[in-house]
Amino acid sequence: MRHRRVWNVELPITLRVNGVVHELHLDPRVTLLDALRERLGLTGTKKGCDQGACGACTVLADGKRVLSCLTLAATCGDGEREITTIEGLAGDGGDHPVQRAFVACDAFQCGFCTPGQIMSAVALLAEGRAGSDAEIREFMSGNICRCGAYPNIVAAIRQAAGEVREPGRAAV
Amino acid sequence: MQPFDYVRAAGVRDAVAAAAARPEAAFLAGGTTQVDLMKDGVFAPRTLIDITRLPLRGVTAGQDVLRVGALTTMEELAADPVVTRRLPVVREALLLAASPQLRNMATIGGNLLQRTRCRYYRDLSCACNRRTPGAGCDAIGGQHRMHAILGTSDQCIATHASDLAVALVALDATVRTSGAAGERAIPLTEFYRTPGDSPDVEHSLQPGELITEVTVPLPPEETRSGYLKVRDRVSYEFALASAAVAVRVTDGVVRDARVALGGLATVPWRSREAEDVLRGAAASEDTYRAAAEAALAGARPLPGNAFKVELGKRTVVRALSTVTGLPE
Amino acid sequence: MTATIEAAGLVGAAVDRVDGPAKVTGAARYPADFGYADLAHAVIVQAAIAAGRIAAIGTAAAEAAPGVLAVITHRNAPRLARAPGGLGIGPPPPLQDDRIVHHGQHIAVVVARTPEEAAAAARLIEVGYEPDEPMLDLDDPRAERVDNAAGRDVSRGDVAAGLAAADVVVSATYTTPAQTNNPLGLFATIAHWDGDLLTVHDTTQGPAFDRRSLAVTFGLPESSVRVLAPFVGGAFGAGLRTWPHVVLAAVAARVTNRPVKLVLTRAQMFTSIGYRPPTVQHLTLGARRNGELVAIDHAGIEPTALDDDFAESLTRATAVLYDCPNLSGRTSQVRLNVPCPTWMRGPGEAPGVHALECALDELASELGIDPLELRLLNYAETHPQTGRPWSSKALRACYELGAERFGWARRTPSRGRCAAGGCSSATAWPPRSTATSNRPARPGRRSAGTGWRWCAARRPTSAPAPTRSSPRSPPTRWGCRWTGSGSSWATPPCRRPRCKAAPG
Repeated sequence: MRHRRVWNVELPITLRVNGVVHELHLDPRVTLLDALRERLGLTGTKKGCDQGACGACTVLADGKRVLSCLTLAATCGDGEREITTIEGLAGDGGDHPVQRAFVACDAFQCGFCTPGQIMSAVALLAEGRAGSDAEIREFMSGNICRCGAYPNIVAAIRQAAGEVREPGRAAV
Repeated sequence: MQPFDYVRAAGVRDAVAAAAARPEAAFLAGGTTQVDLMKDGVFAPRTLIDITRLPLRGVTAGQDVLRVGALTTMEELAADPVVTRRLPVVREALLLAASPQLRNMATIGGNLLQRTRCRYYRDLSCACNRRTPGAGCDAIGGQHRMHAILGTSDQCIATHASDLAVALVALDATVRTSGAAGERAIPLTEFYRTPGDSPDVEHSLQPGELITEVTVPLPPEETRSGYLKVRDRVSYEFALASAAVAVRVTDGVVRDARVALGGLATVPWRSREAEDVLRGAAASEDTYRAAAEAALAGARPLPGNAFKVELGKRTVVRALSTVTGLPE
Repeated sequence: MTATIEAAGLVGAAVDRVDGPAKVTGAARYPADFGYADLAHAVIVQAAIAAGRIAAIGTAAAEAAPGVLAVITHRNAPRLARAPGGLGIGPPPPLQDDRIVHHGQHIAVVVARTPEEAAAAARLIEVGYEPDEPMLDLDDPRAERVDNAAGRDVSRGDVAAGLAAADVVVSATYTTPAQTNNPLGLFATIAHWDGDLLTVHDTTQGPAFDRRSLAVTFGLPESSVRVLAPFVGGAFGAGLRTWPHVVLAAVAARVTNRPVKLVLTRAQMFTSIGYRPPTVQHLTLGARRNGELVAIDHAGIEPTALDDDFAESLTRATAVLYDCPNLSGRTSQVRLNVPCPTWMRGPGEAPGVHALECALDELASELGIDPLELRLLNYAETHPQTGRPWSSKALRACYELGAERFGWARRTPSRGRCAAGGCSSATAWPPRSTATSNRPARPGRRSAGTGWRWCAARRPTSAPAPTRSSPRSPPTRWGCRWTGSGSSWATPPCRRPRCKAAPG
């Protein structure tokens, strides 16, 4: 690979994250994941593979679950997309029904996949896809748990589904 | 990732002009292939043209045709009511692909243009003719369990990874594009190139040519269609073998049939050989077996993927049996 | 009066993890989550060949790339000492010479202001190799063989005589594949020097031996090294060594005089932190016609690294599982051009017991005896090696419960692949010896989900005699110092196994 000259390396990028607008200047190569973690100090979203395979980096973009490791921050850089991370899911005290259910059902061990699982589960409920264990498993298949907490994750989502009063709408 | 200039296009003409003005520019849509391969160093465009704001999103259904904007996401297309009712093969191919997160990001245009999952292609320390013509192919003498048995050459055996493309190739979809030379329509069955002597040429798009829309003829109402994907894991895994089938049966006779294969070939593989066997024949397992034999007759397996010949046949038989309601 | 966990009524109670809220809100911080002002980022370059030497390494382009602070190779890396590990010896320090001994070996580290700049610059390094023909097969005649590296080979009686006297002899060879620990948390190290004081946030299962390793590597007193690991994203055995990338993070921080974060990529996780090695195992079983075992010969071979050592025994469980008077269990390793293997949950026992139990099923088939009946027939009421009674053993109850739950009575006995017709698998993890000390202990366990925090927060009201790792009071600092923990090790004070041998 031949050496390239120095490029114009920083773009003005406006990121709207958890209801807060951030004005940044970023290298266009910065992924949304690294922008959240390295620039905004929001380290709840995790890097498990950096190649779209594990789901640990799952965040919500305008309510839809996406992988922040394959999203360039620049593509969200006009401030029009609302990014929601694990830190912005609930008010103080971690009170979102899905977070409560994960603790109650012991839906984690090491906890590394947990933020991504929770964000994915929140979206799953908004999509109305928690009708059965089989459906939950299929539509959570983009989130890997190496500790193997899957049965408890499914249980937590079933429990949270019961708590979310309007299954077709996001609880957030 | 190597440095690049980032520009955002406001419209189709703007995007095409931006690409024409910049050598080694690439369009950026969902990014699930583009960003991934840039991180691996396989792609290194000098300019990324962000097309995500272009007004190319949405699905409209006419009398005989479905029009899909190229920036429609996989999830959006799968959820479309006409797709659900009239094109189950498309819906299934979409929902069996990737993960929910990826389906929210990946666009239809991008999905058709995705690159192979071949590990040698994605590893710069390995020899790959697709990435670097003339460099050699480490897959042929290496680990090639996931690789192709149809459409291969002595230069490349990489499998095409798109499920949607297999379904659309079966349905005779058309790709509409806009480029420096104007607009044109390319039948999807003519869109992909087998590796031959130039595996680096994957499709017939010109540099800077942008996919704007995909149109899909709607089959007759009584058509049964479906997508069967056979893989190592129950979910979130690429196909070892897959089949997209669409069949119209009346009075126990196959009147019309479409068969395309995935996971087995270097391009989404339309099998007219199978269709010729099916057309006019009894809708029976014997017929389906004969069709499967015809579909895989030209297979050229290697030691590590020879199992795919039989697996591919069984996949075709099961897919046809399932959509026509035959017992297992 | 000694209190027990059972008496305290804790086992089986449904309680929330004390670290639950932190984990579900993203507040729990893993090694890569810590920040420093002026933090720099390091990226590792790996060898693309498995054996040979680096003939040339071109770093000028990388050094000139935007944002790059340093490019460190064997040509300019500091001299480092080889450290002991917590269990066995540590890996050789990286970048000390031009030799390549395995694919994926770390041959350079690039440090830059941002991770993007470091990654891009790393691709600009050009390496010229003088490759050798690597040794990759266990059969390679050039490869050195190491016998009994773990010192746990075992024998009793006379296997040859036992086999000669047996009515039936079954012999088979089994192979098991390499398996990678691959925790979801990418292994990460953040290293920071303050003068000669080194602080690392590290993915480790043993802050204590991590500290000791780093101290020896850099020639420091242990009191100068601090290892912080309150949470790690799983490790499954891979965190029981201070791997070369940890050292490289500290070297990078020293050279650039800035805190440095180094996160392995997922691809690098396959060659940088060990793995369960593949094995080839030969089993020969001799039995009387009624099923009583008279001889077990279990020999296993696995690869190890050229310049590094890892010791595990494939036959440790074989020695204790069954009542058989004549037994030989041997593990050998062959030095190949591969990354050094390491412990992976159930190290040695997992592949070893698999082979043994498969052989027992073959024997059962040969004898025409129900496989479960064969195990019960050879049940070891006392320790087969020493003759001593077990402190407790509930394996028989496990067999019964398992048989009931699996529907054993309903199986169709047949040869070939059949999950229900297969074996019951038992394994054994010998208990650790208890050290006693009068000093109050501060536990150095880090939390990787095994529940240590919860256990430690609830101690019996009448505490047992303090051991090295039983706390007198709830710990005030997590993840510092002291010993390590692995998921195969019971968390104190629940250290006395309730079931001597439990399903593996």
